[in-house]
Amino acid sequence: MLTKIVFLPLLLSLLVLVVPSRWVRLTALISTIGVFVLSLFLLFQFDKTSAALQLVETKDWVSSFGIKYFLGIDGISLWLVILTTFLTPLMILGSWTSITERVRSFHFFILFLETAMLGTFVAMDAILFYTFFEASLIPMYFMVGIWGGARRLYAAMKFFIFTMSGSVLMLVAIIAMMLMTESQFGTMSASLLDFYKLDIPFIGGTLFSPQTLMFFAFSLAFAIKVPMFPVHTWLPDAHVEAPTAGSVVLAGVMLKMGTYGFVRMVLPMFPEAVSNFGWIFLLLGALGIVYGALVAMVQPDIKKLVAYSSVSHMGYVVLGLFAMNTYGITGGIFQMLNHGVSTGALFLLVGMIYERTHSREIVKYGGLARVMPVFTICFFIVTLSSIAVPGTNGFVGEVLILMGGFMANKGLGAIAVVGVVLGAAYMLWMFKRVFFGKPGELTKESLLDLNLREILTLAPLLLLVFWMGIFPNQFLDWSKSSIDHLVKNSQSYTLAIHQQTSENLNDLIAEANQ
Amino acid sequence: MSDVLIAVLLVSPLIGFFANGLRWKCQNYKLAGGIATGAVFVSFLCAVILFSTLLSLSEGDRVLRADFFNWISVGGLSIGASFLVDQISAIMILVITGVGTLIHIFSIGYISHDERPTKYFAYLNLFVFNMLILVLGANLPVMFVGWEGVGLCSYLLIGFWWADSEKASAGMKAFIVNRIGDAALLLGMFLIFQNLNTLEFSGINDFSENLMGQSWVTAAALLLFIGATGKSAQLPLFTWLPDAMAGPTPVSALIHAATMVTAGVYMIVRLNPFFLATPTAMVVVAIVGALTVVFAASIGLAQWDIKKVLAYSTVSQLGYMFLACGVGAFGAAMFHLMTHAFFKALMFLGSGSVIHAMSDEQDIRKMGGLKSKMPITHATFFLGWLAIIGTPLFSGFFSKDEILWLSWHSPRGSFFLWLLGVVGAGMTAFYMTRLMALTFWGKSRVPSDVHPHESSISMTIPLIVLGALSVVGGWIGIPHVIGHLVHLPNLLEHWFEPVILGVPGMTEANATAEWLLMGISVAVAGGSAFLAYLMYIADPEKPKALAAKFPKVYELIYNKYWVDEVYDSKIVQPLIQTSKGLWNYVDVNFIDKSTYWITDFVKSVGSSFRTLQSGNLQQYALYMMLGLATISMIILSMFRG
Repeated sequence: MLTKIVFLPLLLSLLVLVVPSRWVRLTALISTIGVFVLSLFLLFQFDKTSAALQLVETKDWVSSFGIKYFLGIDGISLWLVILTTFLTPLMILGSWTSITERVRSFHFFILFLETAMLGTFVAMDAILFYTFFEASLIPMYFMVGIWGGARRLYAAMKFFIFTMSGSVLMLVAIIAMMLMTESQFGTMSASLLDFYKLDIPFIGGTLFSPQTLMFFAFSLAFAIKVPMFPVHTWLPDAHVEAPTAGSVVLAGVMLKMGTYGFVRMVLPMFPEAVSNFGWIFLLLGALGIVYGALVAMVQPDIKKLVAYSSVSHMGYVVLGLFAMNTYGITGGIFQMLNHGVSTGALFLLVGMIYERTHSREIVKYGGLARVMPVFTICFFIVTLSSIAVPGTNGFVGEVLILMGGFMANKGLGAIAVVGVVLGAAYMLWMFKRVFFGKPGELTKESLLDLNLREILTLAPLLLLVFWMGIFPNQFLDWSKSSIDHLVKNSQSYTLAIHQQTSENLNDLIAEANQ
Repeated sequence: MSDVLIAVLLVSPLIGFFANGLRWKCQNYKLAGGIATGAVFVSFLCAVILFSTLLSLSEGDRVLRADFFNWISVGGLSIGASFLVDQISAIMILVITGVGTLIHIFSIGYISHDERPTKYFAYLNLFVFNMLILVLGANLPVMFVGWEGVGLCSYLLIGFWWADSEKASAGMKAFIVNRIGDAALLLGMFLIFQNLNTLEFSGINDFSENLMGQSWVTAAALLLFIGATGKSAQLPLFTWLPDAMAGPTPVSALIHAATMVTAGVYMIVRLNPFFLATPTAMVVVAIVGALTVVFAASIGLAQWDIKKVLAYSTVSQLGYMFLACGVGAFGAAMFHLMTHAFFKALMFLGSGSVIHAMSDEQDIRKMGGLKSKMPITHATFFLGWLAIIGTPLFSGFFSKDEILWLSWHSPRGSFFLWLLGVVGAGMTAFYMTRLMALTFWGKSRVPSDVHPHESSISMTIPLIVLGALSVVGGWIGIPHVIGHLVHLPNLLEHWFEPVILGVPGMTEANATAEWLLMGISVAVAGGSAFLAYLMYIADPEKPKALAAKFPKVYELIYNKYWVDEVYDSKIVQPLIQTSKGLWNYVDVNFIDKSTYWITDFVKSVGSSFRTLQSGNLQQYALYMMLGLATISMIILSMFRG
């Protein structure tokens, strides 16, 4: 099942390469919708009462080093997989008319990227994870570099170098851990399940104990990906230069690969280092919230503003995760989904107005509400989600994170809560300048309001804003067991493989019948 | 049964919101107004039935609870979408839907010239929905949903005429200032949850007995109170309310006088056992309330905009309610909340009627003599004036006097608090009389091109009803000293008894003292009203002379103590400058630059190895393996050694 979901986009990307050029968009769209539908079947096969790893698939890959092709899913990765398959068709629909050159390769890269992202979320072998994690850079690099704005090459290069340099250290740490599995268990393994069981020496009071070093090696890679303050500066450039679809996927999914890495690896693998040095990330998370919000406030470019708001919102996620309590981690995971939905929608909206006016400068707008009422309503709903008004998804995530953060450290919780005020400030100030007041230079009567395709692109996101805000339990329930398991066993985390496959179930039924 | 009633009560305005909101291009204001008014009226009927259901229950168990679904459930936190009708919220929903219905009716006439009536009524309905959630929520988070929801509607309605950038800014300011309070409220909530493991009102209140003297309780109560100062426009977060007058006047009546701004008072009353457990926080509440009374009233003395006078008056009257809460007179706070809702909504609607008649003029210097042109508006406004200045037997008299009496008599009260209250009462009588005199009495100063006329019947009927309520609304809470004479019980006090705790150590009332204090406050109010009458009717030149005599004082008051300017120059501008600095120096010039240094360094190292680069893939692979092997050896030796 997981293999099918992960590699179906790659397979279909080949189809995109061969169909007649006028069918490219439609093929890509239908393909990704198909993948999304397929991924929804996960919800039927997934046992939400279990914290164990489910739908496991494993095959030897490089057996001499114990590297395996090993996929699995649990309550932490489940929604991220669905988020990815959900956003991809919207990316394609959102850039239906804005991408006019090299349409074929653009859609090829999107599908390629989808496989890489999905692989990252379900790979349970460290080397396999690393492969997917890095593979996602390639299509993203090209998307920014080819279809980007004026400074696209600079931005693409910066993006590549930043993220690459972070992950090199992670690779070193992975290799070190593989060597440790050999010394501790007799056979070498790159399985994360074995990594969890490793007893990595920790010496308090120094940075140079193995566990601490590895903790920082992994954390740096993920921190850059998230991106956390102060290694976030690649993000605004990448976003501003990226085409709409690139921004959507970057903010919507790729940033979560960093925070996912924290939950999947850093928190369970290095418990002592986390309890000793986790405060650094708690602090950087809280500072990131405030810093991102402050800098977002003074951006003259809407897209850059949204990019900095991502820094702020991802700061919440990190704060929640490192709070290491149920509220924080649940909020963190929920906020990853929220951010995918609302920031994804924001980038789509910014893309829609950019396509009409070819400008993103706030001062050139004003009074748009009169000319483009539907656009305004959509933008406003997403704004509400972004500033976490109760009833929207943003509130649930933010309030859980803040509560978790506050329980972990009252002072940092209080700093983080400032973000609640600043978030409203930068979003509403921007909203006021763009949509209210006198018509700006670019606010012409001839501006067309959203068309049906654009409304259809946004509608699922807007629906989710309220759905996740009013009935969050329908989403949280699936992650509950995994999160409880992580929080309860944070000092000696292990992950079992879910035994109840459908075959066993048949056996059980047969037994029961006898 | 009560479940269904509560559901209908809540959902009806929401349906109204969608019914109008989805037809946002339609310009039929009568249809839009009809739908919206009907929706709120249905809620009002539900509220009445719920109220009578409560009456039919025995005093001890007057609680109706509806649990609809589980909203958020994480770890030990389980927040239900649960709603509670008890003695406190029953009064609130009656006021909200009752006054709300009247204001909706008034709006039909008021908004008749606007292009977007459906939007206006949709927002108004959405507001009522959120306000009902606020007061019915059975736990803090559900209350918070309504709390932020009403803030959102307030934002939308203040900025309803957003084409005017200033009005849009006023809406934004209201939301952001409120958010400061909300952030504190969240922290207070976390603190409560961390210590009590519940956010249910009943749970918090039941625990409160055992919490006396714990320091976290004080911290939590103060944080909640900061939230209240935001929503209820108290010092120091009051600045948004006067600006909020940019919205349509019926909105000011509904949201910024009768209902939303009382949310802070409601919350404290709702948690009265919790607040009673922390005398320190109570003192702070009382002092902030009392200071706001005088501070805002003094600004009201010198404003020329009819709505601004009423706005500062509202801030000041809300101060009385907090003063009451602070001295433990929660019942009195609720009483004043209710009577204030009547007479202040009346006066705002009255001002709306005037503004409408004056073709959107709000400056009272350009009014005067409207009494003959607008007899109904004048007569009803007159009743509101009698009520707010505390004329004996009018509603405001009973509620304000109870607060003043208890701020003296309660063990948590003091002479100082009482004095501030009385000074505030004097100022109130002065600025309200001034407002009456300049607007309705004396000679007409109306520009010749404006032809004021009495408003249409849909606007005057709500005025008449509210006028009647402003007169009789206080009779349900007649103080015992007067009640003894005429054999009338204090119904309201009795009603609240099961849910509102008394202040420990309250002594038996001394009738002589109560009469004396009542006499003093009536004399002060009467005196200041008379003074204002003399100044603005008998000798119209006097105010100018007075202002010229004390120019500094006048300037200070007229410019609202420069609070907005100070906030802007000391907080907002520095914040923006800091942010620009962070962006410029930290982001662009420090973090980015330092990454360039690193890449430059790597490059220079790289160039010295250039000879190794041959373009041969196998060679690269070899180097890579060598490199990895070396690193691995190092790490290996570290762990094994």
